[in-house]
Amino acid sequence: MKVFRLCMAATALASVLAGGTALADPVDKLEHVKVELVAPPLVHAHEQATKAAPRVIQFRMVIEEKKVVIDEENGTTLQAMTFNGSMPGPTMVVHEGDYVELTLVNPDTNALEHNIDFHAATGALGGASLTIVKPGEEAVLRFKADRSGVFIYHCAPEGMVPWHVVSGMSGTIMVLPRDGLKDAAGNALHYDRAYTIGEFDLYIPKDEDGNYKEYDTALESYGDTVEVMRGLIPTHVVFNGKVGALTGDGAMTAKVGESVLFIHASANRDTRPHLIGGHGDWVWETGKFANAPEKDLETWFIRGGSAGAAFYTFKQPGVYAYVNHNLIEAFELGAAGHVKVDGKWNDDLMKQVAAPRPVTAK
Amino acid sequence: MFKTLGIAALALALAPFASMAADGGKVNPSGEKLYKSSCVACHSTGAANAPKLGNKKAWEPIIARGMDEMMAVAINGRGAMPARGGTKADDAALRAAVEYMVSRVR
Repeated sequence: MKVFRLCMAATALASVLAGGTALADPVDKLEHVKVELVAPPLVHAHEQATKAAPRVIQFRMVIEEKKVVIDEENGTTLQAMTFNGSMPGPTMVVHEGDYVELTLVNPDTNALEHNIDFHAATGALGGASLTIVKPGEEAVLRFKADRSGVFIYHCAPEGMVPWHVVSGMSGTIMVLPRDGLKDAAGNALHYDRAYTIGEFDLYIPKDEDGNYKEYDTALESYGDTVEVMRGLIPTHVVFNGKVGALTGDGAMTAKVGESVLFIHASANRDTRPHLIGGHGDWVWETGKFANAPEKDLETWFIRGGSAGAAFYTFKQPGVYAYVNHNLIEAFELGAAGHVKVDGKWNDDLMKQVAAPRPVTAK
Repeated sequence: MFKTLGIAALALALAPFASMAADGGKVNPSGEKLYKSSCVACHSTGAANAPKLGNKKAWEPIIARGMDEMMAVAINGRGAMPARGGTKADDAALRAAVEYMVSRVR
């Protein structure tokens, strides 16, 4: 509780400091570009290395509270809160030195107050204290993206931050270096496609009979959910909103020879991504591109409250599993997806010398 | 926002609570239950400027406006507080939750 008092003081101070924006602002004169966001795991079209001068990149996100099915096999539901209707919220891409200008809309069909805290931003609790919107309101926040990397954004309404976050309100912003990504030796790394994975630890209450409870509204789920949260043991851990979201028709795809950037975000809880049958060729597990990436990783580690990025060039076809390599969390609780890769098999890298057969005498 | 409403309600207010107390503390248990499932989200921490449970100073002026006024807020919402506190609770349960919150500052 003492922490909250401290936060409130910081909020008040931030509000005062943000007051005088009426004067002419040189940033207003920069080129403004509107970008339409797309639903994860896709990432909106963007340049990697760019010759463009710093710009103001404008995004719009609409908050949507809704009941979602998080496990279709069992019909388990979550009273979710989302940015743009998806878990995670859409990934925004800009370049270092650009300004991000977000219009955050809270339609009057929602019940709760919301806001947004960008880990990429500086000041005012990440923008949270300047973006508090009641149902029926919107606010516009601009900040300078002056550090490269992948960064979390999330809702952070004072007094109920963890609930809004574990209910779905997080996403990623990727701030690319203006000359693109580099390996540890400074050679350019160009990816052919980027996927964004948001991992969510969920805390769904059970009734006396051990069945997951269903609620009419988000607020009716609050008291029970907080009890489960306090146990620190999630009931489900899912990628992109539900068990199996990134499998079957939802699987990620690639081709042999293609390079993929996997952006992995976890706003609340640690995770350890691993590509079964593949690697992280170059990984920024702390997600910040000014640091040299690590090479040849089997499993990497995303701290709760951060996003990381892994670059991998596929060398074999087949269905890969992309998982949280606490395998209980992956296969029992849901933190697993697939990458379907087309192309030609390479016998040099791997060959089945003898198919499974009865044990032969020596 | 409260200032524009009910000074007049003040006088009316005292009557129902006097009678509640006279009942020898008859409390509807569904009030505490609803509080703990939903209302607690804001009223335990003061999120979105909600008056905190047990904070006499915050609640006294609200209580002074009377049960009808408090029920109007509970049912229709006000400011960051959603209608019915964001629940599908009926009026009786809402009333019981309001009574529970009031009982905690008495």
